[in-house]
Amino acid sequence: MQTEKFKPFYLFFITYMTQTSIVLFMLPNMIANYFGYNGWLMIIPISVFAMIQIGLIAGIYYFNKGSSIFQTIETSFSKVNIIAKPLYLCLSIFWSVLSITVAKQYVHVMKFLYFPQTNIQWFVLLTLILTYYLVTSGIVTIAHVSTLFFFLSAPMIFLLIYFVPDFSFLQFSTFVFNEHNDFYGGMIELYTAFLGFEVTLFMFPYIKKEKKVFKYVFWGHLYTTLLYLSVTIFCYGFNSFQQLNYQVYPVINLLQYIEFDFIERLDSGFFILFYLKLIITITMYIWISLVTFKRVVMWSAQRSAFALLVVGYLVTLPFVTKNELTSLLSLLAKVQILISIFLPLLVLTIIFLKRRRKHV
Amino acid sequence: MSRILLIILILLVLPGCRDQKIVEELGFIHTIGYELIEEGENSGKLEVTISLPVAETLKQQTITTVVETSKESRIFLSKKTDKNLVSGQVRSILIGEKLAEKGVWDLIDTFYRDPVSRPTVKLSIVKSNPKQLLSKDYPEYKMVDTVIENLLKKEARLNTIPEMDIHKFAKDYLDDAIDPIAPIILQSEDGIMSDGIGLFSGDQLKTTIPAIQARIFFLLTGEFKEGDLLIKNEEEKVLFSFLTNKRSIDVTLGDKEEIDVKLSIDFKGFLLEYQGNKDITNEKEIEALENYIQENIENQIRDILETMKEHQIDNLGLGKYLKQKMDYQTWKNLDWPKTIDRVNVTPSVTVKIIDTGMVK
Repeated sequence: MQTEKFKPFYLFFITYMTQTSIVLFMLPNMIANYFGYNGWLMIIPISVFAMIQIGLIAGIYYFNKGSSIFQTIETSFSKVNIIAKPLYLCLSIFWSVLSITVAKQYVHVMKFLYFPQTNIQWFVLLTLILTYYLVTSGIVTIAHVSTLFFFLSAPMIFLLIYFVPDFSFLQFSTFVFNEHNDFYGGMIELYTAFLGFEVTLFMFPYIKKEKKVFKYVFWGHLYTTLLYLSVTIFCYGFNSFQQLNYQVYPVINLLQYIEFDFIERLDSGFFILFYLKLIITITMYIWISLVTFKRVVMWSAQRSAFALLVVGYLVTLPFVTKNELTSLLSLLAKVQILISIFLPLLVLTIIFLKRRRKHV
Repeated sequence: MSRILLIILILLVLPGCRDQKIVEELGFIHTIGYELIEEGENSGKLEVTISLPVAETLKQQTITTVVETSKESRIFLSKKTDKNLVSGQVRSILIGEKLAEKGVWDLIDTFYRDPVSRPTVKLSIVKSNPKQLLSKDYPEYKMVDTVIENLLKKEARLNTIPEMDIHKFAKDYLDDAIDPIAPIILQSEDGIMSDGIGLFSGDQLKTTIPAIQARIFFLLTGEFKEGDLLIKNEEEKVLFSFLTNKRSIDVTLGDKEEIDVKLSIDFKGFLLEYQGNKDITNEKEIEALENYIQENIENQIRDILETMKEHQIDNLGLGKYLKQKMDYQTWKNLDWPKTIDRVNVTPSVTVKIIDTGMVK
C-alpha cells in the first residue's frame, strides 16, 4: 500500500462518519425500548465507556510511536505467526461480512420506505462498486472523501430547529428508566451505535506525526455523542414516550413531519444523503479488512479488495428480510464489540511484556 | 478501461428506470372519508369515499365503495377508475361520527404504519355522512377537498378547532396522561363549516365541545395565545381582544387521595365591542366588567371540566402535570384518567382591560 500520510485532523471526520450509520434512525426507539422513561440519559455513560476504549487506543499509539500494530503483534514472540496469520484471515473476512451487512440493512430500509420494487442484492452490488473504488484509492483519499461527505450531510442537524415549536419538556416526565426491558442487553446494543472508533487502531502508520493526534478522535466521538443525544432528546420531547416505543424508525417519522410551503416529503432526500455516511462506514471496515488481509496474502490491493467484497457479498446473500438482517447484524456487532475491547487490551499487554523483557 | 467505466456508468444510471411512476397515470387521492354502515345487509362494514383531482377537467372525482377493512378499499376503489391510485398525497381523512364513536385507532394505525402516507395528514370528524359531504355539488366551490383542507388550517389558526394530524392523534392516543381530540366539521346548507372539538376517550369519540367554548378550551391548553374572545349573556355582550396570555398549572398532592390543581390564566387586552348597561368610561364600572369577564370564563372552564369528569376523560392533558409530581408507582396506581373525579380544579382567571377603544 502507499506510504502516503494524512493530517491528524482528518481523524475527526473518519471517526464520526464511521460511527454513525443506519442505527441513528432507530436509536431513539431502541433507547425507549431498552431504558424506558428518560432513557437518553444512558447515552452519556456508554459514551464515556467508549471514550475509555479510545484512550486505550491512544495509549497504544503513544507507546508504538506510530508504527503499525501488526508489527507489534508479529514481533512479540517467535512463531507468533502460526496463530496470527489465520486469525488475520478470519478477522478480515469477518469485517468484510460485517460491513456488507451494514450496507444491506440500510438498503433494506431504503427499499421498504422509498423504492419498494428495487432488488436489494442489486442495490448492494452497486454500493459495493462504489466502495471498491474508494477502498482501492487508498486511505488518504478516503480521508478526503469522508471530509467532503461530512460537510454534505452534517447540516442536516439544523433540521432539528424545525421541531422546537412542538418540543415540550412535559413529555419527559420525572421518571427515570421506568418501564425498561433488558437493561444490560440495551447497554450492549447502545454501545454498538458507537462502534467505528476502533478503525483508528489500524491507521497508525498513515497518520502524520503531530502532537496530540488522538485529540481529533475524541472530538469525533464527542460529536457523535452530541448528535445521538440531541436527536434522542428531540424525539423524547416531540413524541409521547409510548409513541416512541411504537415507532420503528422515529427519526424517519421526524423527517417525514417536515413540511415547508414550497416543498414537502423531504425525508427521502435526507435519507439518501445519509447514504454518504453509510458509504464511509462500510469503506472503513472494508479498508481495515483489506490491510489485515494483505498481512497474509501478497496480492495487489485491487485483487484483495475484490476478493473480500465477493466473499462478503456471497456470505450475506441469503439474508434478505428485516428480521434476518437485524439478528445477523446484532450478532456481528456483538463480536465486533469484543474485538474493539480485547484487541487494544491484547496489543497493550504485548507492549508491556516487551518493555519488561527489555528492562530485564 | 474506458469501456469498463462506460459499462459501470450505464449500470449505475439504469436503476433509475426501475421504480418509475408516471404522473398522468396516477390518481392522487386527496381526501378519504370513512363511515360505518349500521343498517341493511352491509351492516358493520366500512363505507369508504375518496376524492381525487382530475387534471384534464380541473374537477374532482369521488368514488365510493363498501369494504370490511380500510386497506381493502384500495383494490375495490381502483376498479372504478382509470387511474392508478396512490395514497402519498392524501391531505385529510374524514371520519364519520358513527365510526368515531366505535373507535378509530385501527384506521389511523393503517396510515401510521404505511411508509407512503405522511404523519401530517389532517384528521377530522364529520357530523353528517362523509360520502355526502364529499360528493355533493357545491356551486361556489371548485374542489371541495381543497376547501376542507383550507378550512381546517384557517380555523385551527383562529383556535376554534384543533389542528389534528395522524402524528398528534397517535401521540395523545398512545400517551397514558392525555386523551386525544379532533376537529368536527359538518355540511351546512351553503357549504361546509367547522363545529367545535370532539373529545375522545382512547380512540372513541365521547362528547363534543361547541365552537363557542372551543377557545376557552385552547386557553386552558395554552395554545390560544392571542385573539378575540366573545363573552355574552342575555343582557351584555363583550368582545374582548387579548394580547398577552399567561397560563400556569400548579398541582398539589393532598394527604389522602385528594389532588388539587390550580389553573391560573392571566390576560390583558382591549375591549373592542360592548353592548350592555355599564358605563365603560367609569373606572369602577370597568373593574366590574373585568370581574364579569373573569367569572364568565371561570364558569365556562368549570363546564368543560365537568364534561370531562362526566366521561372520565382528560383531553386537556392535566395528567402530564400530575405525572411530574408523582413517582412512577403512584402514577401507575392512579389509573388515569378514570380517577379524574379525584382532582379538584380551581380556575382563577385575571383579566385586565388596558383600553376601551377609539371613542368614549
